[in-house]
Amino acid sequence: MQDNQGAGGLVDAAKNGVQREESRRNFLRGTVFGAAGLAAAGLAKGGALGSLLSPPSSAVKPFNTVKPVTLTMWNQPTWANAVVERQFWTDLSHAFTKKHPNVTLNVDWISWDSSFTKDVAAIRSGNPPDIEQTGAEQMVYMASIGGVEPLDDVIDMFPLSKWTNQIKYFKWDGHYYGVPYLIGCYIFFYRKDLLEQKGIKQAPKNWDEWLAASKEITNPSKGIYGAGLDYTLGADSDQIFQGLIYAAGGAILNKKAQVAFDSPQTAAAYQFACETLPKAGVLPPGVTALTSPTSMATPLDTLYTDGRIGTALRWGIEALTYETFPDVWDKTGVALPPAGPSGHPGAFANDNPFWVFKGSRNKGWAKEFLRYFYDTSNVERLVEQSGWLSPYAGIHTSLDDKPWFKAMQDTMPYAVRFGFDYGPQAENGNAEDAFDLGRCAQDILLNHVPVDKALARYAKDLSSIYHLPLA
Amino acid sequence: MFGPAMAMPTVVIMVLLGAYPVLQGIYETFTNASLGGKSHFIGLSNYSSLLSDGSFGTVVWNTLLWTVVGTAAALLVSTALALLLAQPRRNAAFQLLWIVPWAMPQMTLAIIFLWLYTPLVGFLAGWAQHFGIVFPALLAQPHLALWAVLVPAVWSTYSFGMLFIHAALLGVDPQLVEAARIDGCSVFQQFRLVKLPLIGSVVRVVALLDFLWLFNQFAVIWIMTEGGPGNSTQILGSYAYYEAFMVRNVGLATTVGAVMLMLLLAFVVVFLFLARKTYGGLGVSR
Repeated sequence: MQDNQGAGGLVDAAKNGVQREESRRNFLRGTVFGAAGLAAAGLAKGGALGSLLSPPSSAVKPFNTVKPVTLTMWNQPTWANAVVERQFWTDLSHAFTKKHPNVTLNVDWISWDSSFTKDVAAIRSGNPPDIEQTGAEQMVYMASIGGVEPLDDVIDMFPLSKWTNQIKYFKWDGHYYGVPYLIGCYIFFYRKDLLEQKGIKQAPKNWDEWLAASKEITNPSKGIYGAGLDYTLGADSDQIFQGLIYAAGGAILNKKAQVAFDSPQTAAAYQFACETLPKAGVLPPGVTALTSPTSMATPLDTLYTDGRIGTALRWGIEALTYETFPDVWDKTGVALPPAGPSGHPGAFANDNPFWVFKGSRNKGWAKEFLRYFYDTSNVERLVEQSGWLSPYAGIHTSLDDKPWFKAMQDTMPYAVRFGFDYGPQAENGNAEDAFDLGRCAQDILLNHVPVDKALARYAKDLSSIYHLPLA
Repeated sequence: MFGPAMAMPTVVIMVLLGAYPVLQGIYETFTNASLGGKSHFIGLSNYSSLLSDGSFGTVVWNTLLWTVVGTAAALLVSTALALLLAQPRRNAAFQLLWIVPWAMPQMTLAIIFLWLYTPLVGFLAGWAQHFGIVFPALLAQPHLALWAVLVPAVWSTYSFGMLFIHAALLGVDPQLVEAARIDGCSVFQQFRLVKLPLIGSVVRVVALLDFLWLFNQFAVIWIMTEGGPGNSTQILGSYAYYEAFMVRNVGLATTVGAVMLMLLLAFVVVFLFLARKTYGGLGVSR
């Protein structure tokens, strides 16, 4: 996983930052000379000198083309506020067209559930769109089937921030195929007022304190419940349980690509979430059905903003939604997720890439758009409006002063993604897609399957699905 | 020879569009095809995996419950509303209203019902709270979830049958009904003894179509529960999707599809046999 769990990792990250900063200076220097060259080309427009000075790469030949170009981008919703997200992309598209009048960027929004199928079909058909923004888990597979274009030249042009912890998984066969778009993780939200009423002054630091605090603030007669966790089927529960399993010291796959799901550590995570918390009566009734297929926000968020959940593990960016409910937000505290038996917290992290399809008919312009996207002002606006951490070092926004943004930064060293634990496995895509951690939780919670049996069954399933041996 | 030659283009198109995909699908049941990956012939492994899978029995049982109860419910609602619409003072706007569920996209319907059912913050939970009642978390309870999801499925199904039965009822000679009334038949007896035998053929066709429709249902279940909690709402259609697009085991998913095909063929054959034996055929009223 991420090399950031200790001072060594941070020093490396800092060194990396310095190197990236140098790269950035070189890039800026190059840009100045490049701009001078382009100015000269402009002066010699239409003449032989103009064609000689135009970018030499065949990939970027259409810089001074007059032929209209339409870029198509498949995008997947990732912000807390979909309206703001779409406006961002509309504005960006217009600004890009303003800069390059013959180029139009069409952004098509596609759902997370269908993206893999659509991508594979598009690649196989030989008629893919130009660009896509999607989950990191698909990157290596798409590279391995020859569906996407190397983007080393794009990724080298700007200094990466230390949050781009999964970028090594965008690499395949010596090349980077993805460029990081946005990064973030889950954090812990809690109602300060409810805890203080019970004499609890600080956020729970570990699972025992979390359980105790949840018990204290649970009051079914007032409809208030202590803990808000996602137990539905789908990605949300996968993400929650990956964080809990890591906090318990467990894993799903080990470094040898063996299924290590039915370990005592993973069992501890499931026991806490599916036995201890429910038995204590701190979960809202019907918690397994608090699902929403249409947006980032789920009924859990509604319950939190209604003041009916005392603590919740949610994406850090949900703070932007919570802030719009001042009555609750004024009483909200944020912190790192409580530590599990391992002694450290755990949370799920994302690092979504952009990629350019190999079958794109406008690869040069697609890369040019990515270069344009990483303009400082665009990235600043991206961070400011989305709440995600910047992929680009040296970006500062008003969010830097927000406690929830700081909590997300502080949680990142403990943020994991178990689909990558064993390194990219192109032949299997990414094991994360087969995770169904919520279904395992529901088996324990609703069907009362003993934890060890539920985990053993699930481990066997995972082993069978991906032909990976059991640890 | 001229006749068959003229029919050949149609035969070729039908084979290409109908038989080829089915045969290809059946072939894939003998492979370990995965989404985007290579496939190899593995014999009957998918069938044996399916039979040894502990959840498959639950899925088949759920499918039978879902389809049989759903068909009965849809037929009942369709007939009741068709009778209501066949009243002399029927209103065109009123008729149109009852067709809305059929016209509504499955996804929209599922999301609406999901919102209705959501515990604590859903529409029904909110209303129940006004009256001091705690609305049960229907989709979180394994023994209730299937029935809760069946409601929108039936709701989206009944309109089609209602239109057919309504049209059939309009064809019933009013003098026959009037004669039965004069002979002392109650309203229910008028329906059972006069109208039902006359519209029987239509009702049987509607029952068959409702059965096929519900058996192949997928969207409502997947959007509302993804087959959960556990596997309590998993039916063969959603299970096939789960295997194909979540697990990406296309070979096993097509095997589920092949089982669905076999079950449906068996049902249709039995249904037609019984219809022929009892009524002389699907479309003939005795």
